[in-house]
Parts: sequence; structure tokens; C-alpha cells
Amino acid sequence: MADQADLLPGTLDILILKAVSLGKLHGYGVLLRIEQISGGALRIQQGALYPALYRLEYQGFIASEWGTSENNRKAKYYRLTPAGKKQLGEETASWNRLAEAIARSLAATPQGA
Amino acid sequence: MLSGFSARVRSLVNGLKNDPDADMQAEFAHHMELRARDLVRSGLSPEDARRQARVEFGGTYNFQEAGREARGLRWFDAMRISWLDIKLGARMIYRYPGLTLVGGVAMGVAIALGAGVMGVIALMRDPKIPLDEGDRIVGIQVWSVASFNAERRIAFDLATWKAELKTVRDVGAFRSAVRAVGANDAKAEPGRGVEMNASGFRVARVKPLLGRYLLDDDERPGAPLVVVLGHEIWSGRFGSDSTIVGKTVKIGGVPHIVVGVMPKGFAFPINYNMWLPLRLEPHPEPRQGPVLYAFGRLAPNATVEQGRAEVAAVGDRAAKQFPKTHERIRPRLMPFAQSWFELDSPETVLVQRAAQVAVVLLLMIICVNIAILVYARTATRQAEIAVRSVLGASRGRIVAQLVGEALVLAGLGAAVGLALISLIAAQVDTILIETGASAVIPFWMKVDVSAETVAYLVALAFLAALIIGVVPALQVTGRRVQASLQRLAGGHSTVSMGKMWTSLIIVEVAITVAILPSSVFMASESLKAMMTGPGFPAEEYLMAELSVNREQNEAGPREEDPAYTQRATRLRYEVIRRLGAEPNVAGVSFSAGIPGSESSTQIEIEGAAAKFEGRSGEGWQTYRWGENSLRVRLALVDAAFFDAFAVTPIIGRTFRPSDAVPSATAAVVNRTFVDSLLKGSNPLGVKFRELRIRDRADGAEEDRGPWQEIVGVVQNLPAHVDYERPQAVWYAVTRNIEPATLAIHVRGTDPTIFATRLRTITAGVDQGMFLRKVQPLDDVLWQTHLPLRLITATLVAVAISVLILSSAGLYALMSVIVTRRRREIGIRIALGADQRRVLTGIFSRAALQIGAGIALGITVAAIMLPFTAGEMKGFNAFLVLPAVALFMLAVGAIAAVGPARRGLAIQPSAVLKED
Repeated sequence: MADQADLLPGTLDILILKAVSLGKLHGYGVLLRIEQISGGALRIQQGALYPALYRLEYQGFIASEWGTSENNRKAKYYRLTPAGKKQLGEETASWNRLAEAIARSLAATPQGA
Repeated sequence: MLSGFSARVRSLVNGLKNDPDADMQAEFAHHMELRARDLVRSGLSPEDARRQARVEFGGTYNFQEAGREARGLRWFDAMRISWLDIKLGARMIYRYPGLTLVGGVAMGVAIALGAGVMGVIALMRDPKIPLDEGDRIVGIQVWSVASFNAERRIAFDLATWKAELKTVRDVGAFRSAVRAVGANDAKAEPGRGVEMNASGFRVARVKPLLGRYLLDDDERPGAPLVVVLGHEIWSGRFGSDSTIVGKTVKIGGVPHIVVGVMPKGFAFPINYNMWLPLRLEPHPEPRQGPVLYAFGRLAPNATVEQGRAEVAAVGDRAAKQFPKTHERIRPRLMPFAQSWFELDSPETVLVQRAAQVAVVLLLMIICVNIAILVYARTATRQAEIAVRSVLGASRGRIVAQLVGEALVLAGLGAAVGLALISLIAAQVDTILIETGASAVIPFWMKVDVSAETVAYLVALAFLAALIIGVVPALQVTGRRVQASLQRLAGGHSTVSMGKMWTSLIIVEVAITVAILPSSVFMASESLKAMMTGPGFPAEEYLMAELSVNREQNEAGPREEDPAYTQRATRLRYEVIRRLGAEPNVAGVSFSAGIPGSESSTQIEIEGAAAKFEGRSGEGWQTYRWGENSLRVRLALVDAAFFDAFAVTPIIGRTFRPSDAVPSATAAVVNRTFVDSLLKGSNPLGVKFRELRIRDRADGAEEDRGPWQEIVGVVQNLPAHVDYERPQAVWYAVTRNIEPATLAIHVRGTDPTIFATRLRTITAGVDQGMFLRKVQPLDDVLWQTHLPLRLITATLVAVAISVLILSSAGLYALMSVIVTRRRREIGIRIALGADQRRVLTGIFSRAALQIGAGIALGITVAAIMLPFTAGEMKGFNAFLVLPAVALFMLAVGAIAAVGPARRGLAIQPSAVLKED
């Protein structure tokens, strides 16, 4: 738990897109997938997942359909749309650029004496 | 971008269509269930696992709200009208009885008018025939492009259609055949009979109650004479005799065998209660023979469009084969109900559209008036609205609440409107039955409040709610809400009547002033007409329509059958002779119609020849009389007409028996004829002649009748037409009218009682004669003028509604002014200003606005005069318009009384303490 980090604002969306890009998932499955791919390092409030899912659906980046889950209950499954795939690519590149810039800034040492 | 837009739309639609809350709850529950399962696997007890899963998930309500917002449903939530809004609206109805009464009644009148007009138009344009697959019953009408009329002599074409059409089956025709039924006893009205092809019963698909219906064989020349009775005649005249099939009854004095009885309500094809076989000449000539109406039923899988195309093709072939008679006529197929009313002409469509627009416009005007009052009422609710806004209510939410309240008021208006329509429908139904007009209304048209009319009523109520709710709500919840909150802390009202509302009040006053002159004048003239009466003792006259049945050897149009004409004339005069010998009869006459209900025709006066004009276009031609043609009413009467009504000439003479010969040229005209057409010059000896248009196979030609010479002038008859729109009337003497309207001046007994004697005399002359519409003349005149009175009453109701609303609007304007400037009034009085001068200064602006409205209204009324009351005799615009202006000023002054008294009662010390 001590190793878990809270999500930065705006990052949940990209994580959801990444999670569903690996396959169709229901809401709990998205949560498990994010924990899995982050190695348990990210702390997510579970209920907050759903407004983000609905927002992404409203924006057209994911689509949903009702199906039956592994415990034989009605569940809504989400998948990535072509627009979502493009958005994921753009957000990933943007995030990587930002992370690289910050890492470079933090690694800088004083020059000269 | 497009995919994003479509995703948003899909999300919104799903959110509105499905139950998003239930879906979200199901998702959340599924999530927590799976999490609890995993926690159980990790060692927790099921109960602890469930609890922990809920804790880890968080508050579902907040996530649900966030979820709705994420789906774009926020606006919908904001605009949704809740049950609470309706309850608040009901409370407003109770708290503001004045607005409720004024608004509810005014809206009720406008909604009733709108829904009524739209319902009638829908009924006429798109009627539903209540028979099996009634929408597949069609009519075939032949249209003459030369005379722009229907050509009804279609016996020749009927044979072609029966033989050639594939898309239409069971093609047949019918014509009315009113006949005396049974022994023609003293009480009997004739049967509403129809001669119809047997295929008509196959088209209608209704089984007989007893026996059979007509068969094709019954139409064969020489076949026994048979009749199928309707339920009404069977039960009313024959006591529901279950053994009547096979019996012989007299129809028009001729024995017929009853072969069947139809069930109750069956009246196909229009409104008949007796069916006879239609027997036509075996080889009819083109465009000759009797007037007929054709029908059929679309073949299975055939569409109306296919039927139209086939009928048109048959018509084109006939035009090539018989150019002399068929070049300028074309058959056309249409739904049967439409073929009866001929509603296709561009002029008719335009009138219908104009009527629809007019009633919606009227409703909008009245609703805008009510919106002014609603807006003024919100002055007392500013605190409530500002506080709600601060507590988080969006503008949309507040607007939705105010619209909900408006819905309640509009609902009340709709209820009033529904009650009005139901009342009027019941009255109209009663009048139609009493006048006998219900007999000619098709069976598919019912005078009642249909589902369609109610749908229009509900739609108009919603429109009304939007107008009276949305506009004031948007104004009150605008930018000023924040300012309101601040100023409310100081106890000041912030609602003002901005430019929009004051402009609306000016327009409201203008409309009232524009409508009032015509409405009040028409109402007063209508009242005077009722009090003046017809100018003779109408209650002493018995009217009856006398007809003579055709005999089997009498075919073709009546006017072309000399044998029938001679027989009918002989019988009619025998009836008159016998009536004249009765001790209670002071005079007998006959005419073509009721006095005051003559038909229209055109004439030219000697020395001013009328022009005959023809216009043509792509495949059509039309003809009319143009310059110097004058429109008059033609009253065909017998020589004793004026004596029977005790009418003496103003100048010259009335008719003599010697005038009743075919070559006679004597004409009597009424006073309006002389005043309007001869401009008051000496009419005796003036000659004129009738102008007609004669249809020809290749077009039409002018037909100028023989010259008539004016021998006398009489007063307008009946006298009360002087107060309506008096028409120029030309009285022409004739011996042959069929059917003839008898006028019997009865003395010493009630005319209603004499009706029995009249029937006995008629039956005694010939069993083939029958009487219809036997009633006293004063009843007939009342019914004849009822439509005009109804129109006048409607105009007056609308004018009163608008007047009351203007008064209420002016009152609201003055009240808001006093409320808004209460502090200023108090301070000025505290500083020593005269109270009355202060108020005069404050109301002067309102007075200017009222004056502007009156000036605008007078201008509009003056422009509208030629189309409204301006042509009515006695309307003096120089007197009426100023009187209306003064009246509105008085209304404005009265509306100012209440607010002025409140203003005068303001205590400066109390106002200053409020700071």
C-alpha cells in the first residue's frame, strides 16, 4: 500500500483506454487490468471509474454493449473504438514527451563551480 | 469529428430512451459483487467481503450523478418538469384567482376555437371511413377542364371502367332517390333512398341483418322491383317486423318487394336508409343520362397511385376515341371520402391553411397577453427565484418550474376549451338533426369531439404553456438574478417592464381597439335583426318541401323531361288548390327556397354589356363573366308569392297570374337591387338578363338569357337582412320548380298542427308525392341565420377575451410601476411633493403607451374596415372609431384606479424605515 500512488488528474482516462485496448472488459475487469499492468502501483477509487467510462463513451473513444459475465450476471462490456485507439496513441505520445521532459529536468546537475 | 458527434447523440438517446439510473445501479452492483467474491477468496467472510466492497467502491449516489453528467444528461435533468412543479402550479392557481379566471377562460376560448377548426379541417381532408379496409374504397370523378367542374353524367364511362379497370374492382355508381315509403301517411317523412349498383354492397362488406342485399340480377330490365330497407326505416316505420322480408311495400307509390334489411348504422355510400337497384339505359350516350357518383374498391395489392395511373390511362384512351365529348374531360381516382367534398382546388386548400394559421395566431396573441400578466406576477417571487439560484438551481431548472406552473394554467384552459367544444358539438348536432341537415352529412362524419380534436387541443395547450411559461421565465432568470439578490437585501423590487413588455402591452391595446369596432357593430346589428324580425308574421307560416316521385318511364334530368315536369306541375297546383280551399289557410305559394336564402347568379343590365372571358393553361381552360357582370340573388317564385306574404310594392306592381307563362319577361326586384345596382335611379322599365356559361365538348360558351323588364320593387324580404349583408334580389315568376318550397299562411290554428292536414291533402292528391322539412317558418329562419349568429357570438367572445386581457395587462403595468417606484414615491412625498402630482408624473408614461396602442389600433381598424363591418349598412366609422378610442382610454383609467390608490396610500415614514 505504501508503494501505491494516487492518480494524477486526467490520467485515469488514458489508463482506461490502455486497459480496454488489450481486450473487451466490464468495469471491474478494467479495474483489475489497470492494477495488473501497473503492477499494483496505482491507487484508484473504484466508483470513480464509472463516470470516466461514461465520459469516454460519450466522447466516442469506447463503446459498450450488454453481455453475460463469468458469474452469469448481466454486465456491460467496453471496447476501444477506432477513435479511441487514435486518442490512446496521441495521449501516450504526449505523456511520454512530458515524462521524458520532467525526468530530464529532475536529473539535471549543477554545471560548473 | 463525425464519429464523436454520433457517439454523443447515441449516448444522449440511450440516456433518454432507457433508464440510465437503473443501468448504472446494475453495473455498480455487478462490480461490488465481483469485488466481494475476490475478497472472499482472499479469506474474508462473505458479509465482511460485501461490506468492504461497498466501502472500497464509495458513494453510489454521487457516482450516479457524475455519471449522468458525463453522459450529457445534465440539461435534461435541469429541464425535467417534476411532480412538485405541477403541485406548485396548482398552488399558484389558487393564490391568484384573478389571473386564473382571466387566463383560463381566455385560453379556453382560443384553444376551443383552434382545436375545433383544426378538427373540422382534418375531418374533411382526411376522413376515415368506418368500414372494413375503408381506406381502400375509392371514388372516380370526371373533371371537366373546360368548365372546371365535375362532370357527373358518367353512365357511358361507367361501362368502360367496369370492363377495363384491373386495379379497381366492383366499380359501381349511385344516385339519390328520395321516395315516400309505405302508405305515405300523415306523419311520414320520405325515405332517404339511393339507387345503387349491387356492387356497392360488396364494396361496403357489411352483411344484411335480414334477408339479402341487392344483386346484379335486380338491375336487369324487367326484373321484379325490390328494395333493401335500412334499420331506421325498418324499426321506425315497420315496427322491426322480423317477417318483413318477402313482403310488398309501396316505395314512391309503386309496390316493391323487401328483400333485405341492413343493420343499424349502415348508410353507405353517404347517408341513406333505403337501397334500390340502379337501372340505367343499356347503351348510354357519352355525357348524357342521369347524374351519377362512381365508387369502387382497390384490388388486392393495388395502390391508390396505381389506380390513379390506370384510370388516367383509360381516360386518355377515351379522349382519343371520342374527341368530341371526351377531349376536355378526365377521370381521376381518389379516396372515396375526398371525392364527395371536392377539396382539391387551390383556393379551398388556401382557405383551410389560412384558417389554421389564423386560429394558431389568435391563440398566440392571447397567450402573449397572459404572459404579460404572468411576468407581472413574478415580481412577488423574486426572492424565491434568487434564493433558489444561490442554492444551486440552474436557470434551466427554474425555467422548468415556471413552465410546469404554466402547464397547470394551460391545462385549466384546455379543460375549459374541451367543455366549450363539447357544448358546441352537442348544439350543432341538435341543430343538424332538427333542420334535417344531418341527413346529408356522410355517415363517416360525426359531429362529436373526436380523438383527433382532443389531440389538437392538447397540442395547443402545450403551445400555450410554452408561450406563457418560457418567455417570462427567461426574462426573470436572466442576468439580473444576481443583481436581484443584492438589491433584495435592501428590500427593493427589481422587476421592471422593459421595452419588450411595454411594446407587447401597446400591441395588446392596439389589437383590442382593432377588433372591437367590427365585433361590437356586428353584435349590435345581429341583436337588432333578432328584434326586428322578418317583417311579416313568420310564426303563422308553415313551410314544406314538396316533391313528386319519378315514374319508371321518366328518366334523365328533371329539367329535360317534359312529361315529368307536366305531371309534377299539375299535381303541385292541385295540392295548392286544395290547400287554398281550407278554412284555416289565408294564402298559399311556392318558391325555390326559403325567403332570404336565394341562390346566386349573374346578370347584365341593358346598355352595359358584360364581357365573357376565357383563360387557358397547360391542358386546361376556364371561363367566367367579367366586366359589367353583376352578382344578384335569383328567387324563383310563383305568381301568388307576394300576396301570400302580404308584400305590397314600393313602386310599380308585383306579379299577376298572366306573368306565369314561359315567354313572360316581368321581373320584380328588391330595394337593395335598386340602391346598389341602379344607384337609386328609376327602375321601372329597366331591362336586364341572366348570364350563364354553357358547357360544350370542346370548351364552353356564353349563354345570355332573355331580357327581363322590371315591373315593380319590393322591400327586402325578410326585413332583418337589412341588419346583415343585404343582397340584391331578382324575383322571377315560374310554374315549374322541383322540389318546390310551399309557404302556407295559416290562420286560426298552430301551423304545427296544420302539418298533419297538409300531409293528408298531399297523400290524397297522389301517393307518389312526399313532403320534407315541414316546420313553421320562424323556426326555419332561426336555423338559417344561426351560422351567422354563431360567427358573431364567436367574434364577440374573442373581443371580450382580448378586452379583459388588455385591461388586466394595463392593471399589471400600473401595479408594477407603483411597486417598483414605491421608494421614490415615498421620498418625494416626504420632501413635500403633492401626492397627486407625483402619481400623474409616474403614470404619464403609461398613458403615452396606452395612447400609442389606441392610435395604432385605430389605424389598423380603419384599414380593415372594407373587409369587416365597413360595408354594413349603418356603420359610421367617424362615430364608431372615436367611441372605441374613448372607451379604451376609460378602460386604462379604470385599470389605473387600484394601483393609484395603493400609490396614494404609501406612507413615507414606512418606506424610509425599510432602508
